[in-house]
Formats: sequence, C-alpha cells, structure tokens
Amino acid sequence: MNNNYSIKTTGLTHVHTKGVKTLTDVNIAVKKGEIYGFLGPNGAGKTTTLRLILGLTKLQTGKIEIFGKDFASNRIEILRKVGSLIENPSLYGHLRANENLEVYRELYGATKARLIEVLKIVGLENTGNKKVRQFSLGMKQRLSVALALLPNPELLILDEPANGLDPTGIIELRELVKKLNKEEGMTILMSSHQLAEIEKMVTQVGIISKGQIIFQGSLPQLGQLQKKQSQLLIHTSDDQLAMQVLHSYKPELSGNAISVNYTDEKEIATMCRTLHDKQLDIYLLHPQQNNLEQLFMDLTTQHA
Amino acid sequence: MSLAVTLRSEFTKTKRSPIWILTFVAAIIAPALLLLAISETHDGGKPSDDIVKMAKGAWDYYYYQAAGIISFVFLPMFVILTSTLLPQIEYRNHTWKQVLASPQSYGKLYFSKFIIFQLIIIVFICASIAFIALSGVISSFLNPKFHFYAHPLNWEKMLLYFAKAYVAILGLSAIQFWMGLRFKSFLIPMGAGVMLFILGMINMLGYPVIDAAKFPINYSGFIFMDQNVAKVPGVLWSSVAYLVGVLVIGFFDFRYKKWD
Repeated sequence: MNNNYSIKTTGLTHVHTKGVKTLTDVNIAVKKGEIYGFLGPNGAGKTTTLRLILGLTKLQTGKIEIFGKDFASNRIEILRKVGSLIENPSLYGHLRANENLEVYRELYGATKARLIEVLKIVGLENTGNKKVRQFSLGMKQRLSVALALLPNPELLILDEPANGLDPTGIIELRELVKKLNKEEGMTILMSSHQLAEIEKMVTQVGIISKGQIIFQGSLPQLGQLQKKQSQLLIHTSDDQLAMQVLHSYKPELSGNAISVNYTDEKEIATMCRTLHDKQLDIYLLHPQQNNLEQLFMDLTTQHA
Repeated sequence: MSLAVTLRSEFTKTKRSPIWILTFVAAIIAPALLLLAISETHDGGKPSDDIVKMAKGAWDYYYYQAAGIISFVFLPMFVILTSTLLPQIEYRNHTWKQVLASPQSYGKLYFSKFIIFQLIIIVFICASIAFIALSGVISSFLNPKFHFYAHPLNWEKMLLYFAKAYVAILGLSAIQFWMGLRFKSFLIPMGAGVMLFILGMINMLGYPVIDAAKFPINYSGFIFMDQNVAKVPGVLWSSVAYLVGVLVIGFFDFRYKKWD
C-alpha cells in the first residue's frame, strides 16, 4: 500500500448492463496535496470512474485504493474523510440551505460552527428561510460545494463543479479550490469536459476518452506533448524541391503549403536557413502551435 | 457511529415534507366521519339505534367503531401512501448518490429509514386516538342522549385495539417499504399496494379465493372481524413473521441494488 497517494486505481474496467464497455483498464494516481484535473468529453467515462471511486457503482474489475487503503473494506472510514459532488446538485428541495447540511453534519462529525463556516465560504449564509427548491442552479451548485466541504475533507471529489455557475462563480470556485489546496492541504480531484476551465488551477491532468486514459501527467508534460504536436506551414517558390530538402522532417503536402512537425522553435530557423541555402524563396512560414485546448480536442478526437 | 446519528439525519429529511401533513389529515378523516355517522337521530329526526349501543359505554363503543374503520381502510391506505412518499424524498431530489457517498453503513441507513417509517405510522395512530377523543367530545355536545360521561373509557381495551392493529399492519408496512425503496417511480408501489389491498378486501369480505389469514395486506382489517377472533393471535404472529422475512430480503435487495 502506498500512502503517498490519495487515490490509486488499478485496472478499472466497467461493463454497462447492456454489455457496453464504459471503462477499460483505467489507472489513475492522485498524489496527496495535488489538484488533479480529470478531463474528457461528455460520455468519456469520467462520472463512472468517480462513482466507482466513491462506491456508488459496484466495482467489477480492478482495484481502488483511497489513502492507501482498499476502498471496499474501509468504506466508511474512507468516506468520512472525503467530500464529494457528483453530477447535478443532490439537495433536498423542501429544506433550507442549513437544514440540507444538517442532514449530513453529524454523519461527518462536523460541528455547527463548521456548518456556518462552509455556508460563509460559498456565500450562502444569508439565505434565511428560503427553501432550496427556490434557489437558482448556481446557488444549488454552491450549496453542493458547501456540502462537499462540510467534513473538512482530506480529499475533495468534484464532478463538473462549474456546471450552472456564472463566470464570476467559476472564478470564485477556481480561487476557492486553489485556496483549499494551498491552505488546508486538501487533495482535489476535479472533472471537467473543458480544459480551459481547470488548466489554471490543476497540477496534474488525466485525460479520458472512450473509457480509456489517453494521457496522465503534469501540466508541463502536457505542454511537452503540445510542442510535439506543433506544426509549421511552409510555402516556397518550389514546394516539391522544398519537400526533398526538408526530407528529414517528414514533410507532408497540405493544400498549397508543406506541413512539417517541430518540437523546438530553433528547428524553424534551421529549416529556414536550409531552404534559403537552396535558393528557395519563402512565401509563407507559419508556425501552428496548438494551445492546450486544441491539444485536448486533438487527443480526444484522434482517440475517438 | 451510532444508529441515533443516522436516525436524526433521516428524521431531518422529513422536516417540512408533506408526509406530516398527510399524517394528520389522514388521522382526522375517520373521527370526522364518525362524528357524522353516529348521531342521536337518523332519517329526518327518527331516534337512531346508536343511542342503545352507546348506552352500555359510549366511549368504548365510539373508540371500537373508530378503531374498526381505521384498521379496515385508513391505516392500510396510509401505510401504502407513506411508504411511497418516504423514499420519494430521495428519488425526487436525486439525493441517493449523496446519501450513499456519506459515511454510514447500508444497514443503519436501511433500518433508520424503516424506523422513521414506523414512527410516522405510530404518530398516525396516536393522532387518530387524539382526534377520536376530540370527535367524541364534540359528539357529546351534539348528542347529549349518548351520555358519554356516564361510563369511563376502558383505556386498556382501547389501547389494545390499536396495538393489535399496529402489529397487524407490520407485514404490509415491510412489503410496502421494500417496494417503495425498490422502485424509482412512485406509481409502482402505490398501484401495487392499492390493487392488492382492494383484491384482499374482496377476498376477505365477499369472494374468498385464498385464506385471508395468510394474506398480510388486509391483516389489520381481518383482526376486527368477529368471526376471526380465534385466528387473531396466529395472524399477529404471521404479520411479525412477514415483517422479519421481508425486511431481511429487502435489505439484501437494497444493499446490492444498482443505484445508477
């Protein structure tokens, strides 16, 4: 058992009742103190993975360790230290904000002061007698975050927490997540289908597509991949000759230009000099560096 | 973590829910009916037979009649309705996933829900007893010939009626509780419950197909029929047996149910 990991899944495979394979050999490793962004398009298997991690879906194949302990045999002990928000807000519409938290307060061993504190954190301390069914989606989402924070968890699992939040709410959530991670040392696993939404706060990224993990690593590692995927478009006075000259870069014809992959900007200068030495006039030299969002799109669509 | 913590959590969920309104509204119907049905005069001023019946002990007669009406119809219908409404608190609010991701065992959760359900049934019975008393007091003003205060109420006997009715309803309550938890749609447990109740009444009162002493849906009515007096102890034990059996099966179903 490895205690450095808050979450470690090994070989998670899940088959839906109708025989559809929703997860294939999913291995996720979330180290203590990390903010882990779990990315994937809709239907990729993010929620199924999170539900398995929380024991909401029965484990079929594989192993789940939380805080270095087997989940199945330590369920209650583990859940006491885990705050979660899965899919849509799970709240009692006929109860008030504080009553919704009161339902869970003692189960998590939280004090009444903590209940008020988490309501303040999400800015819902003054909702008075208003019942939750009268809340906007954004308010419900914030209350769900408060509920996830109630146990002052070691591990916070948030499934698409920005759903329903306005831009200000998303920024506030981002700041809150960073603050919780930095000040409370909370490990956070946060799923999203938009890289832009979480790239500013996560330290590690896992990308899932069609039930398979297609990338897992740090943001700099993702950045490296991004560079590998960068392309240079070149159009010269003789593209056929340019193709021969740049033979070692494996060029491809792309419309009226040549496309070559590059990993380092110095390579662009080298290619430019080589073409110039061969007396070729350069009409176009256009580096196309993918941003992370484009890379995410490329990765998931390539895999699809 | 103690069962009390899970119980408090489950009880908090019922706050401001329509279940409590239903409980008190349902409890007032039979006493109100009784107030209209038992009166000194019938058919435009003719003295009613009730005067003679009430003369032997107005309160005892009044309570016996009320207990009969409640046991036959209102108690089972209330159990069917409540067992459906209670799990709907989770289904309607999509809260099962949050509940099951909280640190409590399936056993405590399941049995806490059942205990809260039983508490609601007991509150219904207690409220019914209180409303019958109120109905009797009003009746005593409206019908002075009944001489309500000539004989005291036999409390022990009255409480025994309701205690038996409660034990007799345990089997049905377990069956309905299981169905209510099992199905996301409230129509299935409610429809099945009402249908079985009606068929059971037809079977018990008019066209017997199966032995009514083995059909737990109508036990609470069965024990109030004069011809069934000898079978009452067996039926009450049978109700408890149904309770235990169905609760255990229901628990395993709950524990291994797919909550997707």
